[in-house]
Amino acid sequence: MLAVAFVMQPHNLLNSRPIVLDTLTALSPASVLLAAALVCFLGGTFPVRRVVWGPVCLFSLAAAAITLCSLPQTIHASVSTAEHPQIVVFDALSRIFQFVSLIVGTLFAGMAFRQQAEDEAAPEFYGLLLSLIAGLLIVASANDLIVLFLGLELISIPTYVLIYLGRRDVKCQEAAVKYFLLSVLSAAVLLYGLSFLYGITGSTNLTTIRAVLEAAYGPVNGLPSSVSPSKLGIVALVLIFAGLGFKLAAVPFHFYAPDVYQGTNSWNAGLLAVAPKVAGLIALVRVASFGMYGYEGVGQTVALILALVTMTAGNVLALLQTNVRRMLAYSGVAHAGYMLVGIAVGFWESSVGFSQGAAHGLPGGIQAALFYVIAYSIVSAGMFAVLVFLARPGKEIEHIEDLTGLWKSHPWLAIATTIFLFSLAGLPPLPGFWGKLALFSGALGVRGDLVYPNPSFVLLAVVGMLNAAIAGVYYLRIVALMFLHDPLSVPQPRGGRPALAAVALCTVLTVVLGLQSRPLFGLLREVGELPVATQLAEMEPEASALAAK
Amino acid sequence: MTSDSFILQAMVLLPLLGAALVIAAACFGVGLDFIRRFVLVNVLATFALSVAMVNTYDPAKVDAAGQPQLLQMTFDTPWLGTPSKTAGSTAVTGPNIRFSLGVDGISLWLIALTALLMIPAVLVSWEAIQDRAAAFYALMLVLQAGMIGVFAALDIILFYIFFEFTLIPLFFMIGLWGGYDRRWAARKFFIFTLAGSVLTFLGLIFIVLAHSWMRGSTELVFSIPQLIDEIPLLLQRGHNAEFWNNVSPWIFLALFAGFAIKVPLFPFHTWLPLAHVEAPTAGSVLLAGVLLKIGSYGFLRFGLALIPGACWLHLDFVAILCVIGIIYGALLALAQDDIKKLVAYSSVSHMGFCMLGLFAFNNIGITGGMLTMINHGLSTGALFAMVGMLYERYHTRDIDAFGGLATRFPVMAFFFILVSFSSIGLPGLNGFTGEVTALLGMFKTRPIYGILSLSGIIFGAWYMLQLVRNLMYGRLKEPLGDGHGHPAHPAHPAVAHGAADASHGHASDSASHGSHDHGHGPGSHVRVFATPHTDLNFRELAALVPLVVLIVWIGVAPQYFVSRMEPSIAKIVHGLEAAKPK
Repeated sequence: MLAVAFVMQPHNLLNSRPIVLDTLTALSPASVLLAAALVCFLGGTFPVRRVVWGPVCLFSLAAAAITLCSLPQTIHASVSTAEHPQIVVFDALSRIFQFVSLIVGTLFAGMAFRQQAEDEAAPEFYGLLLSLIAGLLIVASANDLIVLFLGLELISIPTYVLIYLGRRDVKCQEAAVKYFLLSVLSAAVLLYGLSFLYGITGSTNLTTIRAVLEAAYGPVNGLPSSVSPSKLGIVALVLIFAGLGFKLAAVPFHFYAPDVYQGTNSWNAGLLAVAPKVAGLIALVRVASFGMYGYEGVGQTVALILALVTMTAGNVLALLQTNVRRMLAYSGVAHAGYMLVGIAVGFWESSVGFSQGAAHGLPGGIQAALFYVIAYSIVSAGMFAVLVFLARPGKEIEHIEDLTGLWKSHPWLAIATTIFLFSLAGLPPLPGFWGKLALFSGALGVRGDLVYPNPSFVLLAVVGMLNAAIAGVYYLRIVALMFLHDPLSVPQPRGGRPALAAVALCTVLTVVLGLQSRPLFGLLREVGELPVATQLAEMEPEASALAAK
Repeated sequence: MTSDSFILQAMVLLPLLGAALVIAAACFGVGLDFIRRFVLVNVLATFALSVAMVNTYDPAKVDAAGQPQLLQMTFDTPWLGTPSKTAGSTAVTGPNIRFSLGVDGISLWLIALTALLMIPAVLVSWEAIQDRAAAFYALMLVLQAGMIGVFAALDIILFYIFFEFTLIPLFFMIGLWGGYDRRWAARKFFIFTLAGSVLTFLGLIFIVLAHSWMRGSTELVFSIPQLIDEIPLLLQRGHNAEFWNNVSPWIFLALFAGFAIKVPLFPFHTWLPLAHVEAPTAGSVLLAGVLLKIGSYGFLRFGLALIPGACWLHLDFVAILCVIGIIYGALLALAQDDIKKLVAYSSVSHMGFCMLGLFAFNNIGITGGMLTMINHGLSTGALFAMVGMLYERYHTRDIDAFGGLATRFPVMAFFFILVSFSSIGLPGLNGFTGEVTALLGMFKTRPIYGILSLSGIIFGAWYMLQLVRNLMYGRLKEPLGDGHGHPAHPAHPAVAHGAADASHGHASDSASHGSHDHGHGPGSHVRVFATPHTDLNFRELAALVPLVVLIVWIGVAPQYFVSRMEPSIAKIVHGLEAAKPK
């Protein structure tokens, strides 16, 4: 609702504002969260009752959402041109994903409510969560490599501590160390790639980078350029894929995921399944898909191979798991593979000049991937909220058998879990299905010679759909355990009402998004249209007028 | 949209509404007795609507331009696309996926069959389902909405959504209320169907994409009738025919993956006997009666009508699988000692005839295939219902345990023999009209397959007559230890307690039998309501009589049914003739 209200805002701002003020305005939701995080960190040193921190966190998330809604849509329009590039943008991608991040933050804050009410580290915990969400907001709007990296680190660093705080046993410490080391390594790889990109373009600003690359590889006098992409640029692209592949948990950068998910608690595993994946995908779209003009062919190949390997390995390995979080980790790997399908299709679309899958009224590859990650985030958050709700202190839901007979003890919870699992499996009419429809129809729509479909993309679609059937097997196994078997023991859930409310909210969102995905697809439609912020100034009035209708 | 478009909408929405009300009623602790009566009324109302639909359908209707209008009672509203309201144009932003329903002469009968078979499905569950009955009935109604939706959908994505959606309720029906091996049966059924249908999904999307490419437009058309009408015209343009000839065999294989598993054709049938045997009686009735037809309907609607050229190409491939299925299914049926398994394998055989008729690609063959679909739904539905009735009395389906039942249950014997004859294909009953026309069609196209599958009819007579003889004739033989061993519980207390107390009642019941197992598998028993020695009661008669009336009606005067499907079939045959390889 808020998102709609917020798109329909009339643009009412003066066209001349100082750059610094504009940047600060665009970052204000993140600033609200960071200020609240500081309050939490500082307040934790005073003898304040622990129960207050949960409401403080939710309140500041709400404040950030209100700030976000009250921002005018044209903050950067006057200044973010190729001559005067801004370090942050406030385009459709940024608006949608800031909003999604706030929803995700609210869900995870709600899930932890009960547990943190008794925890001595509650203020630090919420402070870290708020900084992490602030990191997500920054990644969503970053238009500069440095800012983007800053945002990504603002997500990673709190995660290290959160994993450590989650459970105080050896396994958890192993998970924290493992995640820390690999995450630092991947950050280094990403930075290395970004430095190559800086090297070939001489700028860290994505608008400038695109302008420079367009000048180098763009059509000359209306004819396609014969300049082939530079080797350094290819190195940059591959390193960026590797660095962000870690965030997405794409094969072969996924090795941490199963161990870390299993080692930590359900709440942390859920956060790891959602936040880095959203951030990684946005960063990939911003840098590789929108920024690196001229490298579509290479990008397409890399994304295609990664997608094939990732979804197959993820699904097959998930089939073998008996630990719930480990299984969900591998299933998360598989979903990253599906998202990469969209990225590959998006590269093809921009290589042939479809600004967005406009070749057929379907959403383009990028839009499909973004839809998919939103659907995945909501559903995964719900799935982990169920696990959080069912956990007891010191006794997480470990094996899938722990869910046996859930229908007998908690019928509505079992139904909600089934909805989440079926959406992950891609059964209609749930959001996972619409995501797969958009992704795979995009892949089938790729035509190498503009007559016949491209065989490698057809292979991708066939392998992807067969993978969906494989995924059906292990998701259905849980459903069968929940409904068709008698409970082994009576569960004593301790997650409390807030966790249950998070489950309910996710269920409602899942069902609504499944039955009516039109508004979200409509919002995402604006994403691909404006890869370069310069056009926004003229386009915006029409766009908002259309949205108002 | 027409004035009678409410009929189809109501037929999809009424069961869904009913399911929601059943769940709500169960949450408020309304008794089982009220719930099942309500469900019956709901099902009867949907059936009444289907009768109205059959009567409203006019095969000779023409539209304003004088063109025959085969699609009637259409209902259409945008779903995923955003209609742009600029100057009265119908342009749509985004994928133009619509919620669009309608019937032609083919789907008409399958929808009516669904609505009809729900009546026996509810009636046979009346006493058999006591445990969590509200959930069972809600799932059954949801399944009904899904099945009607599959046949009524005019949008390719909507079709697929209903197609997949039917899996979910049946999975739970088999898995929760099925027999001993129900969990594995439910999962195998679900995964087999899902594995095939994901490829079908790609095939369906590709049809839509290829259509837009051939048209050279950027707009995607998801409307099935529009695709059927436009693709043949587009093939006359430019290089489209060459393109289409190259891609359509692949589309056929993609569609084949899902539909052949659903039918099921020979090597893909292994899920069927398991699912049938383990399903509760109502599940078996609907699975055999309606869900298998989704496969053959898919072949007819998307294969024969949309990619006729590729169908000609794969004619021998499919026909050989059909012939193998007919003979192999019949031989397997001959070897079974479980009545339900026998009927399940006979389904493989009968659906082979149906597909053989469809793949004759001529009027008479497709008419025969369509009739076989309906007939198989009626006779197999009735057979499964009666197996369920027998099971309720004796808790066994072992053929060897029975004998001479005709003396004990003369009325049941009458119905059983009549339905068996229908299944065999005795002239004067429905099975004959369907299978003979289907085979006649095949004789015209490829006589060899017709001749080979004749042996299937002989085997069919063999296994059915053997079953009738073993069960109904000879010395009276009743299973030992059951029926007598467990004194029948009086019906009244459980009924009075209703759904809220069902699980409690069940627990105490199974405790007395020593094992706690939630279906009615060999480990535990449902309460026996009808005493073992009584013949069919009024409820059971009410379940069987409508089916038997139609069995005789189609056998004696199939013209009423054929005349309504004829124009629609003629249209498909016209397309097939045009695509026939020279």
